[in-house]
Amino acid sequence: MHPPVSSPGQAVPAPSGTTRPNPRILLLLAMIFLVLRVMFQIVLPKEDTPDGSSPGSELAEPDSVRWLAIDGSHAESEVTGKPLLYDFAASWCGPCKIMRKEVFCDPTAAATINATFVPVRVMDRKAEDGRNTSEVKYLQDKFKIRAFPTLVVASPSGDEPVVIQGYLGKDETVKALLAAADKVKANSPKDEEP
Amino acid sequence: MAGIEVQNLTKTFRGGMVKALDGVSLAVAPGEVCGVIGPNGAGKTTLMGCLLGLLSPTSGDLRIDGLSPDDMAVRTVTGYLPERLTLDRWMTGRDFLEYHHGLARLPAIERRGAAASALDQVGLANGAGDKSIRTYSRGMLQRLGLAQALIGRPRYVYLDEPTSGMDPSGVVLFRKLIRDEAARGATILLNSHQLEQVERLCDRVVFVRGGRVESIATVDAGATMVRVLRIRLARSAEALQTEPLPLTPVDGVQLVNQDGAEIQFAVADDAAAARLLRYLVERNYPVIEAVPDEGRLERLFTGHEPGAPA
Amino acid sequence: MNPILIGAYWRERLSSPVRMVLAFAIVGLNILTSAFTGSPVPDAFSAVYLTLVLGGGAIGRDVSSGAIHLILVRPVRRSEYVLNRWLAVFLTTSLVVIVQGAIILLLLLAGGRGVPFDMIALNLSEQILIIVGLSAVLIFLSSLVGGNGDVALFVVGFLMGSVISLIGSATQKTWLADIGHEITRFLIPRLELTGGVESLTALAVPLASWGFSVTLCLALAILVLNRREFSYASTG
Repeated sequence: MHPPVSSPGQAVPAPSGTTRPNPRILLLLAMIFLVLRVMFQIVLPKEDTPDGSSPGSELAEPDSVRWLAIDGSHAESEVTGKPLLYDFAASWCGPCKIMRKEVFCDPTAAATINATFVPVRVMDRKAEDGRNTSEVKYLQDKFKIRAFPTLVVASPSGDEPVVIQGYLGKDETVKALLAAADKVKANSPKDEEP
Repeated sequence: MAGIEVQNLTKTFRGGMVKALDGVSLAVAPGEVCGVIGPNGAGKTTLMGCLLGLLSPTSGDLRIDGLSPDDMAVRTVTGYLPERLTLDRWMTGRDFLEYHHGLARLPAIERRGAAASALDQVGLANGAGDKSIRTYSRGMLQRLGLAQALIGRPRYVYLDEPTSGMDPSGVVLFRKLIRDEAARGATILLNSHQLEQVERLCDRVVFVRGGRVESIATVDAGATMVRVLRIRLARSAEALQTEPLPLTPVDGVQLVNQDGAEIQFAVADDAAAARLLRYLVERNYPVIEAVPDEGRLERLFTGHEPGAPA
Repeated sequence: MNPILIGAYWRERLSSPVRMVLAFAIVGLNILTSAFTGSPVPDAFSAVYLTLVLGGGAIGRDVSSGAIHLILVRPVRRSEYVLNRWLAVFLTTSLVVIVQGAIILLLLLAGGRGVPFDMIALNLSEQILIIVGLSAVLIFLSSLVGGNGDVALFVVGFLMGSVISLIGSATQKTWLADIGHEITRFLIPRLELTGGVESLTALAVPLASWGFSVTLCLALAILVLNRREFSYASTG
């Protein structure tokens, strides 16, 4: 039998415990973050730009259309007599960006829209925040929005709206919008002269 | 008793379809040098993997100094040389040893000195330590691997085919290092196909076959190793009309069997074998072949006794 | 923090000519683009490419080569190995991004251009957060596959998420688009800061998402490595 061996100069105490500890703290942190995420989505108010797009998204950058917030758009429509134009879009939607670039950034098309409609941009935020505001949800449900982009021309009462789904190209879109405006105006009850 | 204790160890792979170890039990006392031999696929590397915590046993108990192989305290006193040695080839030899010295949580103040000493120990001190591992030969890699396993003088050393690729001087150096480690009391587990080496270095030898321990042989230190030398003559001794061979023609040699032109002698060592051959040649015996018969450990593989027909 | 493991990782990456060439190419391109366009900030997505180049195979290469055997028989906890690999990946990549930012800043100053320090700071923070998050994801993927398979898994996963998102958009199935988005967001945890931060509450949900991705990936990587077996016998 050989003499017992001594381990040389270990200045630090030898570590102990298993080499395979479970990552309890990390798992706990992950759970906490998950719970916080869910809570924040439910509890916190949305931070939107006036037209509902997220800060920093391309669709938040100003184009040539004077978009109004959802709140107040009804009143504006009633006062001016112009039909509402809802642009249902999402920041991740490629055709939305193309439509914005080709139609809403075009000075002529934008001028036509500004003159003819009360334009309101309704941004879907489910991808970013997991949910939409109650106003956005209401409008999406009301007009049965299933895809983006969808343009809806409607009177303040919302009766008999004209829905234009998808991006049809610049000229076709402007033509369709003007036709929709005429149809909605024709279907709206006439205001009496004061 | 501390040291290595294995009780009823079973290890299966592929959902139980492959049973690499089947109820292995063995104990290695502290300071013992234990050899593990067996045919390919016997489970030797799997056993070592379980003892090192690289594999998890399917069932059974493993203790090293009373602790699980997964315990940090066990790893602190463990050195390992794998069969397939993979070194960080972008490092120099010295960097590699310092890296492992650091991983072993040994004091930083001793690091450079320990690496230099380890390089010297394995014969890589002549500037080879400062060259990139990429430039190393197979034998140099093996020496460096051995140095890495022994750095910090661990209490438990696991060596899997440690002399693979080494030249004869490397093998001699390896034997000296293992004897030195054993002398300072390290517990060594040695997997090797080099049976002669196992017999020379180990206190005990475990023979594993089919995932089971088939036998454990004790090797007596200092005992004379008896080997059988089989001599073949061109003609039978009777045909040569020479005097009958004495029972002990020279020192360290004993006549075991004579059958026509084949004679078997038990020889104590290489020097005795050389004396025997000189004796026969001087007396004009027409020796055409002199081969060692299989050794004692080899018989574990084949089940043959010396002198018995194959 | 284990400086031995981190130092060895850095030196291993520096010794890889392919990685160095790719990293220099990405950084060089960013610097040249800034020099020509005058943009003070590189595309935050370039942090993704840099992390893939400098962090790919952080664990998988050790596993494939067998070097991990020699590490894990030492007194190194498997969790310590994972976390130090993650630290090493994100510290390396963050350092490169900071140096890149410093060079761009110097070029702008030398060119007499106005320097929007706040935008630069936000962009740098955004890049570093991407690096920290993506490093955690890569470490998890690397614990699953050998070699540089983590990069392949990432690319396939990202493409899959993007395709699912596109299909969802094209077929007007917002739930499908949502799934695609969740996949891509999990693979690249990020906080968008350069668009401007209205208030801290606007960051609450993205921050919680980012934290969840990072901690979950690291925890999963440790769990995988704890259960993994390492032996030539187990693969033979």
